[in-house]
Amino acid sequence: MRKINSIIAIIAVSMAVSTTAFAQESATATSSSTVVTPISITSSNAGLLFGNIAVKSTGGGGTVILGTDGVRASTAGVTLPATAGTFNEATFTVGGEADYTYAITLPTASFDLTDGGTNTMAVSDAVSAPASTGTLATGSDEISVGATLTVASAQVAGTYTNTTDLIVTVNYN
Amino acid sequence: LNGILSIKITKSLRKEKMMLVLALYFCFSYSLWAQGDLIPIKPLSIVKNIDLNFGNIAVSSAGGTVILAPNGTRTSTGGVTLPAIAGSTTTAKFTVTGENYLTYTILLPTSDLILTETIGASETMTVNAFTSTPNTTGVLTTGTAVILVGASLNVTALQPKGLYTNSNGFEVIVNYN
Repeated sequence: MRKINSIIAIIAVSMAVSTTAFAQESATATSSSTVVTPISITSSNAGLLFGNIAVKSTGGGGTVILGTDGVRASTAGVTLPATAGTFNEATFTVGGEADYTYAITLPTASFDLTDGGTNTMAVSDAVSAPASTGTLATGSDEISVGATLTVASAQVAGTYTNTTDLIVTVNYN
Repeated sequence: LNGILSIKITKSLRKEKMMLVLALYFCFSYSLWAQGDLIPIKPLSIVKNIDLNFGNIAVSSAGGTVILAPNGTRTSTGGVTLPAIAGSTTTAKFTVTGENYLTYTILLPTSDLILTETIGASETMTVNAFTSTPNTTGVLTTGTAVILVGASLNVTALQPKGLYTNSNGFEVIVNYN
């Protein structure tokens, strides 16, 4: 009887030892992210101004090419009078995270200037400096934009404007 | 003689009973061992190696999300963009150790993790939709396995700039299958 008891005891001990319970295990990781200074762009001058131009009444129109450096050139039937009026490239100030680069998107379609009535001139071929990518070395940068104005033969005299369509878009690269 | 005989019979019966008990025990324990329930296997453990970091993000007047896949690929939706200067982007990495060839289940957080802007502390972003590789179940072929965890970061429109963190972190739970 004692033997049986001791065997039962051994069995009980051995079962107790061999029953292992596993608890679930876990570990944690932190999470983080950096939201950078939003990129911004504001117009920093009066906009793209072609100044005073003259066009022949017959024999075809021409163009005025305003470079990103603010220098004008004319073609064909368009001339640039000595009384030039105010002309300059459009400038924009870009702000954002220092050292980041950004992409510049210019209007790809031409848009019209109107004299307030039915007469129009088209602005096309917008160009910029820097051309397509800029760098926010110190957290800000300047973009200069020029374009080409197409003038018809015998274009009606007047002041032609467009305040909405020269849209320059920037975004972080 | 009857008396002596009866004692002998009794003794042999006791022996038989003993043998029966032992036989039953071995049968029983063998069957349990065969099932694997009572093998003293290595306990499962998990440690974190690398934290989750979504890196640098930019947001416009529209909100969006950044999805960081377990393989480290970042994609953005909506008004969120990912600047070329990406910053440190890392998926969370965990190492699981245990018994060779055993499989384990992986439990990822199901509720949102709130990241708080470290300076102002009033701005928040949420992290959810945790995903892992392997997904749901892993196998400890060589006794060690790596779990990579990604998630989605939800960014609101005009989210203020700053470093957003949650130092309490999120929990990944493993358990033997």
